[in-house]
Amino acid sequence: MSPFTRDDHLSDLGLELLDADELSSDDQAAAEAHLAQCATCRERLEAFGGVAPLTPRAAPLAPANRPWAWAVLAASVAAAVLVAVGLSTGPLGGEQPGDGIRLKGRGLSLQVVRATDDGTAEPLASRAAIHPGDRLGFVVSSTTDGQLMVLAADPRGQVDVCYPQGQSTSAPLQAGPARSLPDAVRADDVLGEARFVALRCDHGFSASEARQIVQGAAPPAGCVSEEVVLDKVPR
Amino acid sequence: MTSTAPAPTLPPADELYRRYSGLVRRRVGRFYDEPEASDVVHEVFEKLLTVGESFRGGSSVRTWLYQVTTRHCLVRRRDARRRQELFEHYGAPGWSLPVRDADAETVTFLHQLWRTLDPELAEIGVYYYVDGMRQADIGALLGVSGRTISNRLTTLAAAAAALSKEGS
Repeated sequence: MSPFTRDDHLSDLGLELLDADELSSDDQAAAEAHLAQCATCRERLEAFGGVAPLTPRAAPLAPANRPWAWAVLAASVAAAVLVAVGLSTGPLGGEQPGDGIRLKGRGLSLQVVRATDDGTAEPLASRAAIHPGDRLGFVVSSTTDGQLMVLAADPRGQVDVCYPQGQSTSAPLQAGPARSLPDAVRADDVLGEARFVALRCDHGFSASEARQIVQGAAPPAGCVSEEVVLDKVPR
Repeated sequence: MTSTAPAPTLPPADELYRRYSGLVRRRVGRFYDEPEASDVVHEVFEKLLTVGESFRGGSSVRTWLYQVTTRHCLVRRRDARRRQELFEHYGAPGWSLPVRDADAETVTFLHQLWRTLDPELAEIGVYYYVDGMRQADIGALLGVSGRTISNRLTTLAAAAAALSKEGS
C-alpha cells in the first residue's frame, strides 16, 4: 500500500505507518525523501507528538524514524551538549574553544549525540556503543565559514548523507561553536562499526564527491574532515 | 506433515490501548473536536472488545484499526442530528490537508449524497475525497480490487451528476 495520496503527499494512514516503522523499506525511503522537501507533511507528522495519548508515553521524545523531529530538539540538544562538555559559547578564536572539545589543527569538530528518554541529548565518545533504533544528532564546531556535509558509513560500505538530508549538495556552514544541525538519523539494524564523517570545504561540493572522500579518496584542497567512530551493537 | 498457522490475534486490551490510542485519537480527530473526540476514542476501544474477533490478520493491526475507527466515526455521524455538522467539517477549507480543497464533485457528495449512501460507499468516499487515497490503496485497505473501487467511485460520480441535474 502506497503511503502517498493522489496529490503525492503523505496520506494520513501513510504517516501513521511511517511513524510506526511499518512501511516497506522502499516506501519508507520514498516517504522520507518526500518529507525532506515537504514542510506541510513534516508539520503534520510533527503534530503527532502534539496529540496527547490517553496513556502517558514512556519517552517524551517524538517517535523514532523522524529525522526532522530533531529540529524540534535542536535547542535542547545544543544546550545539553554545551553543559555536558563544558564548551564555551564564546567566539572561536583558537584551537581549543572549550574544555571538552578540541578543534585540532583543522578547525572542525563533530560531536554525535543520542536522544535520551528524558528528552535530552547524550554526547557520545569515540567508540561508544549505539543500538539499532537510536536517534542520533550532530553538533558541529568550526573556526571558519564554509560548506558542510555529514555522512554515515556502515560496515557494508554504504554511505548515506545525514546532513543536509534530501539534498545532493553541501549546505552552508557558519563559523561558531556547537551548532546543532537540524537533521538527525535513526540507527538502522546493520551492526558493527559506524563511521560519521563531517566534511567542510571552502567551496560547495556534491554528495557523490563527499561519498568518495568517505570511502577513502583524498579530500581536495580547501576541505577538511572530522570523523567519529561508534560501535553499533544489539540492544 | 502439515501444520496450521495460528490464527492472528489482537494484542491484549491494555497493550492495544497503549500502543494504538494515538492513532485512534488522531483518526477520530478528523471527525470530531474535543471534548467529544475523547468520548469517541473510548467508544472505539469499547467496540474493539466485540469487533476484535473480526481481525483476520490480512493487514497490520494499525491499518485495521484505521479502518475500524473510520467506520465507527461514519456510523456515528450518520445520526441525522449530526449530519449537517459533518458536512460543515468536510467542507471546511484545509480540513483535509494536504488534499486539495473540495471540488464541485466532492461538495456534491458531501452535501447531497451522504444521506443516500450505503455505508461502504460512504467509507470509500471518505477515503477517496477526504483522505485523498489512491484507488488501489483503498482497495487494499478494504480487501477488494482497485477496479472495484473505481466502479464504486463511478457510481458515486453518476449519482452526484444525477442529483446535480435534478437541482439545476
